[in-house]
Amino acid sequence: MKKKGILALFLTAALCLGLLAGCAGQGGGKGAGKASSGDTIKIGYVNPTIGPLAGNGEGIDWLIKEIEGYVKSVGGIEVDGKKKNIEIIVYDSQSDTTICTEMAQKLCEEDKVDLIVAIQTPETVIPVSAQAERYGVPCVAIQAPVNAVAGAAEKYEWTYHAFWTIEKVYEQYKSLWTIAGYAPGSGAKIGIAFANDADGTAWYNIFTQKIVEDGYVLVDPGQYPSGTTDFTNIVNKFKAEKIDILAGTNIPPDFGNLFNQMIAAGVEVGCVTMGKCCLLEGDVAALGEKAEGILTEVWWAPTNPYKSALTGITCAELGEKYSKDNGGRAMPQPAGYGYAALELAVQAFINAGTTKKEAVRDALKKMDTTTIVGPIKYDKQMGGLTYCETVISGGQWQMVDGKLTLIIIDNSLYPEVPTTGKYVPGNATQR
Amino acid sequence: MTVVIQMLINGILLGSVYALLGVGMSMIFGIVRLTNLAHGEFIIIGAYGSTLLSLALGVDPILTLVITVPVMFIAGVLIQTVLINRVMLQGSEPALLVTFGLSIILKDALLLLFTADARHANVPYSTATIRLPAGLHIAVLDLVVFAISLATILILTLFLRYTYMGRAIRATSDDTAAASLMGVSVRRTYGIAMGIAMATAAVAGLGVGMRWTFYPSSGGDYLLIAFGVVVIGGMGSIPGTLVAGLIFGLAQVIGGANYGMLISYLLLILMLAVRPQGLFSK
Repeated sequence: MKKKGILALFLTAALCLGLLAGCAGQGGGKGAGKASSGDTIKIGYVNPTIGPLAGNGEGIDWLIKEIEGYVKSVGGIEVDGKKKNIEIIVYDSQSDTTICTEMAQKLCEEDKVDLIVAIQTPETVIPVSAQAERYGVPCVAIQAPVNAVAGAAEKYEWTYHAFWTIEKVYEQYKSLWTIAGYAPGSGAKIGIAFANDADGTAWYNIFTQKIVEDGYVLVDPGQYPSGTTDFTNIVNKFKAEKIDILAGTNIPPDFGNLFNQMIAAGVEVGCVTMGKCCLLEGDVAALGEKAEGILTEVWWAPTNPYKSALTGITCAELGEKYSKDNGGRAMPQPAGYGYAALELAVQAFINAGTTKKEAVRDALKKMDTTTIVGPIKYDKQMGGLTYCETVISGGQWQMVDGKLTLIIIDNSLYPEVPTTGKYVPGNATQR
Repeated sequence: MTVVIQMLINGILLGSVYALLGVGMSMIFGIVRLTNLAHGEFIIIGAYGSTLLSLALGVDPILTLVITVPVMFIAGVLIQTVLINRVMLQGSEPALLVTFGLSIILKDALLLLFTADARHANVPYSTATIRLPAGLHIAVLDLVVFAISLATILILTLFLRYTYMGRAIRATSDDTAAASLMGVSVRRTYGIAMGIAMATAAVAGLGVGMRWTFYPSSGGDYLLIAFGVVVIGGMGSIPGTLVAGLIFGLAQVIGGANYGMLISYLLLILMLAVRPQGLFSK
């Protein structure tokens, strides 16, 4: 009898853990409890500060300081005949989609924000924009493949999105494969590795179709849950089929496990293109020298040629400032997008001249400006989503002075983005 | 055939780490009768300890055990005597909540100290491979972690069987009242048990850091695996933990990356339905 009681306790504990983890997230807000005073314009922001997506959420405090500071320095924004400062209320999503929903709900219901920012991968953008739609709050959505967001709802009336489409990232990868010596029609074998989450599935659907259309041979071992510790069957398949290219988008632990096992099994590939885990310096450092030679897409770099129409800062200046204020860390790509999202939010209020929700939404609709990530004009449509396409280029991790550095080697899609180096053949699987 | 043998090899190598993840938790469950929800974080602390020390000192991560194991042992004894023993008087639920709170605090502290960057303990042989006939292969790294896991479990078993402290721990586990009548200090025994559990978490952390990539928030993933292993093996049984780890690892490899997790947890449910006390429970 006692044993059974203990067992019941044991299982209850396991269940409680999940529930309590959800509850624990509720207390983490910065501006929590403040009444809607009307003296400031309130912008809600759900950020993955901890958890697996935390690398994407890095630098949020710095971004807020920059944008709030800018608005203060120009004496506020004139809305409804009165100059007002902005207040950015950030809640931590803990990289959990359920908590994203709760936090977005809290922003809309309790904090009564005037606008909400949905940013950092589909895992955050989809749940947050869904709440914005539900409560009728204007929503600046950014940095999640357009397809994943467009596919998540029938119709978006309050959300305006900016990022690239998976078709575009596929074109970028194709261009990288070509540079590595595997042109379309060559019959090169492409092994794909996608998790079964929102992001992985969106990529999987487009890649499996396009790879075949372009005359490559597709080696598809199927999708897998994120957090998988063993890839034996996938590696066996890649080995048996003798793949030339490995393509995918994975979080660092998944890619690390897969790549280690591939190297151990002696799978030699001529080219590795990998999204997500190979974007950030912090993540790549964990892979170590195995990351050398890996190709990836680049969406933002301090060398990009854009200048913010709002604050007048250039990409180079912003990158430098970030490094200076953050102990020499290079500004991560997602932080560039975080800056752009807040630029767009502020610009929307300036253009609207009011905090009335319909007017702010219409200002977003008519937006035509240049941000740190490039020109933004919401002129494209996918399903029920209005979006703007942002630039993308191709990069490779190369050792520069003993440090892994992301070098832009291909700008065929957006020639205005300068390259910073040349392709160097080879990667860890060939050693 | 090669594919099947390769799967068995990889499954056993993986399973040994799973057993190592579960062994500390199983011990605490068997002896202190406490579900330690902070065990995942303990493992991640061990992983950070080994990874950062080996970077700082420029030595193989395995050598860092000389520092991490005693430090974590002492930390475990302190946590149990200062924190958990106090609330255990009120029953096991408050103690459970203490470990849950501890888990959150430790996770956030790790994030504060080490940022959200993914980490990995790099070793020179991280991509070295032993090639066997018939196209089979064993990654040297996996083999090293396998050896560490087995050695840890063996040492633990011998300690519990042949030392006075080990016997005291087992006696307390079997019958707390009788043990304390025989002059065993229950509180002290609990402290030592938590110390040992935390020391095994230090070793498990080394395994996690060497084999996988981790973040401050990775503890939950490993806690879940440890749960599975403890339930299948029978709570408190060290050999049971080893066997359960191997079963769990093999199930995962046989299910493949696509269905491995599903099959592992189906196995867990099946186990609970058919033999809820676990394979090796007394």
